[in-house]
Amino acid sequence: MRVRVLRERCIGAGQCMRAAPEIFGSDESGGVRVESDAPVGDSEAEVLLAVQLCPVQAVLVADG
Amino acid sequence: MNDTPRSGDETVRFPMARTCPFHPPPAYEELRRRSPAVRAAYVEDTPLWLITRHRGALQLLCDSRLSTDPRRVGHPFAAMAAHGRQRAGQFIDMDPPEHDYYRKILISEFGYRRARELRPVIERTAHEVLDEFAADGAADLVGQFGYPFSTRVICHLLGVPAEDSAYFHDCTREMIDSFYDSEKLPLARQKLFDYLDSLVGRSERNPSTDTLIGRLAARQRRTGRPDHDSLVGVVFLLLTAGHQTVANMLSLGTYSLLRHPEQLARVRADPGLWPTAIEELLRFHSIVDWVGFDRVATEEIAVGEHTIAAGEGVFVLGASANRDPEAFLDPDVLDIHRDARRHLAFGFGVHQCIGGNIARVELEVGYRALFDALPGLTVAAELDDSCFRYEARTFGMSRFPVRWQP
Ligand code: HEM
Ligand code: SF4
Repeated sequence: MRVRVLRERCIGAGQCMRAAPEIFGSDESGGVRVESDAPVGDSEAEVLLAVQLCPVQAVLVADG
Repeated sequence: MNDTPRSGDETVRFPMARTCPFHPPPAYEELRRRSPAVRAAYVEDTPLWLITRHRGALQLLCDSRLSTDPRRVGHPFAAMAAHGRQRAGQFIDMDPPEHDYYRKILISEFGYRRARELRPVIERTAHEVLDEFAADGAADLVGQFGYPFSTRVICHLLGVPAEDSAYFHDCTREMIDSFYDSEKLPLARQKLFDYLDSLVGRSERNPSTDTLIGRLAARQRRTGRPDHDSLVGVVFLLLTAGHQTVANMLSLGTYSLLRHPEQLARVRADPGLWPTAIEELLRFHSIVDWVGFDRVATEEIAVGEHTIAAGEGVFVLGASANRDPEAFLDPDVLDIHRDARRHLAFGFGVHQCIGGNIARVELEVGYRALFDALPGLTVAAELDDSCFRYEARTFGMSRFPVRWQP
């Protein structure tokens, strides 16, 4: 699984960071930053939850 | 010809009042079962749509064909729409792209990281407020904890100078006290507005990057935006959206936990459970319901077998979505162990609550400080209806008498 975020769209709601703290972090301005773009194990499920919880659909995943 | 909404022969009239502190209006259950979109008659018989289920609520709150701008014809609150100067900075009532500008410039103030940085100040504030409790083991948690705590956190967040805090407290207090009084409220609002107007003016003449208002004033110097009226509007919106909600969740959540002592004991024994418990309390109480989710369709939208026409008003029933059995098992049961994260207590889409990160910290810090500082906390007397704000647009408590062993 590969993770990507649309930073332009992010409103800083923090849902992804709460759902998958190892994968998503904050950049200097408080918006989202991907810390690790290839989650494995439990983190994969957490990322899928983050996709659902992001209020503006800014979290994207793809196979690979 | 006759556009009065009907279901069978029964006109659904809206709004509906809550009848119990722990549940949405009882009729929601039947509406939710009936259809994902129910036609109803709002005040003065205006027909509009109620969105009843979790799935539809998520979809519609992300749908750019729904507008939140009350100046549009057909918006449920069109009669109360602010125009001109009164509207400046009220981004809760703006659509993208106008709306996005404000969220962008506020991310650094309300993001997840900022909320974590604020935690020590929020903890200190909670303890300060609790230190002022009398030693006699009795208090009103609404007046003596919920409001002073949430107001002081907001003061700190915005950067209200210490020497003004007494006046600021008086203004917000007056506004809270007259919240349910349509004669006094405009005066109280004006007084607060005038104070914020002068506070922002001072910051503009002398911007300091130590405070939120100062940083926005510095941005105005650099870029010309947000202009004075918009900056005042933003600050006013943050204040009004941010302290009453937190105060109400603090008292209602505490009341719920006291009624479920086994769950309270679990979370106190294992504080790592607080974040999960708080999501469930937010879901369960859903204090911001349809009032927060006022929209109007700008184009035709299909919902199930119904079609919302352009220009028709919509209320998303957040409190109904949060009790939808399709989304939450046994939805009417409070269960602090469940995963309630898909709740809509903070909304969804581009308007999802900007204060959510900070509100979660305030709630965790507030509940923990309260139960730690007041051993043997119990409800002092049977709470009658006058303790609850059934008539209010945001559900809450007006009084919450408690006792503990001092
Ligand atoms: C438990 C406490 C809170 C609850 C339940 C709550 C609930 C909500 C809800 C449901 C919305 C969405 C309205 C919509 O879709 O149009 C919202 C928006 C908003 N909230 Fe909160 N809120 C809380 C705390 C706060 C705090 C602490 C602040 C500020 C410090 C705040 C500021 C705002 C603002 C400015 C908006 C408008 C966001 C936008 O339109 O982009 N709220 N809130
Ligand atoms: S959940 Fe979405 S909006 Fe919120 S911080 Fe993550 S990417 Fe940004």
